[in-house]
Amino acid sequence: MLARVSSIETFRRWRLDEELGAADLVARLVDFQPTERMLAGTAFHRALELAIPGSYDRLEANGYTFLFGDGEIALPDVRELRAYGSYGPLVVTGQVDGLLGKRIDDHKSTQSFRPEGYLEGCQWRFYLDIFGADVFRWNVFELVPSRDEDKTYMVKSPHILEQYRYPGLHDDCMDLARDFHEFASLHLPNHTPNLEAA
Amino acid sequence: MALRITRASDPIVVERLSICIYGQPGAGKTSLAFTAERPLLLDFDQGAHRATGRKDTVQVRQWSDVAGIGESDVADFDTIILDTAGRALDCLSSDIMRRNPKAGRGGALTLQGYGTLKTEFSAFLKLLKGFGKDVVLIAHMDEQRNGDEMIERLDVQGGSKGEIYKAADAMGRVFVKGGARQLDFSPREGSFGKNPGQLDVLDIPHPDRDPGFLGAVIQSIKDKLNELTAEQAEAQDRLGKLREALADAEDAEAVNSLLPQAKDAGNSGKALLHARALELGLSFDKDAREYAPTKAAA
Repeated sequence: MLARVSSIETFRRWRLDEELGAADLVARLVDFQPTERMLAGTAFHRALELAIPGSYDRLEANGYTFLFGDGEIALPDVRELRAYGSYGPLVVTGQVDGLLGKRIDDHKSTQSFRPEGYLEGCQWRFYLDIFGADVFRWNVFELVPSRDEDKTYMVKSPHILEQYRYPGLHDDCMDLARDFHEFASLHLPNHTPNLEAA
Repeated sequence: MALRITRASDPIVVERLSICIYGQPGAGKTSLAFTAERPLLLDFDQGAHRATGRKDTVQVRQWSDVAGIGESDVADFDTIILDTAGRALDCLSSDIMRRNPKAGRGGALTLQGYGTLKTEFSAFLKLLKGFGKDVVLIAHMDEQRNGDEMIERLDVQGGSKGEIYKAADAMGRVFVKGGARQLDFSPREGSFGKNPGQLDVLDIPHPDRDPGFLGAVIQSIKDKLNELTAEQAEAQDRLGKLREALADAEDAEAVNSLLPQAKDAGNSGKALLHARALELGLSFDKDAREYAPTKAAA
């Protein structure tokens, strides 16, 4: 069985929410419809994926425009790389936004910077484990929609947040993968994740 | 106004560290901090007198007490402790609102004021590290319920908490278990941590027994980080060479000839090679253990 790292993170969050039932999670994993803000985030990722070194007052992608305040970011040359890792009967896959040696870069677009949400998540753990990396770096961009123009966002200087591999990281991933597999075997036995989706 | 995008470059050697120590009030965070190498404690919380093994301390009542700190002021110290970082941020917030009344509303920072807080706090930490000092940020802990789970977080006001998570190279939780104090840098379910030193849970000795305990911990984290820096440089080199070779590979034979090199570069190397193979319309033949042109569907 194949699962995306993001699906396992969705599962982890679902477990913490007493209000949601199994059907809610199945619907979220099978028939997920991105919001306008998520589409903007996908476009922003695309813009960064294609960006070469230089100074930009704006970047455009997927019909969206991003206007920048002052800021600086160092991006790895290796971008949008997918890898797979085995966790018992479950194969977990994730695509990193950037890779520099043993450091993974992940771009996040958000309304406001809330580091605890990233730190307590499982995505960085799986990425470090699957890629055999030591450092996980979030480049968090706050996107504010323009009042004047549709599909246009003002982008603030990025927050840089880092996390590291720790003893027991693989075991933590294995435990969560096992629980996800148990759920998916019961509720999503024939589901194939769409690896092209955001 | 522009975003400057640069090419990520070689890693640098870590000489100075910012470390965050958090835990319940009374857990012994300040006493632990005093076991750092030649410490100076900036006592924003007015609680250093309760610590065991107290060393040099500056009572800080307002941000201006520390704003003008110079290299000569801290020449005799190797470690600067902010006790607590939360109170330090409160002091800085008050100072920002005093200097610019438009930066605050109803006693809280506006978005613009918060931007100033982030910039000035980050600059202060950089200044201390620029003086060649390690920085220890002490924070109280707050427990919050999330479903059945208790989550331990830093007890720091609003958005400024993010500055501590960003600034800390390492983050450890002090707690008492079976009557013994322990320090854990690993993130756990329900608590935060940053463990670049790959340290197991540590028993904290009484300061009389090991007055240099935290200093040794900080040194071991630096050593591990610099070990990682060397490994990072090697990994970058291996992946860079592989990437160049893959760019020249145009068929299955060329890709397969790079399989040993990709294996040497670990999972990331294998992922790079696989991505190139897909670009060339190749797929992996598990029986032959090599790539071959993808067969068209019947």
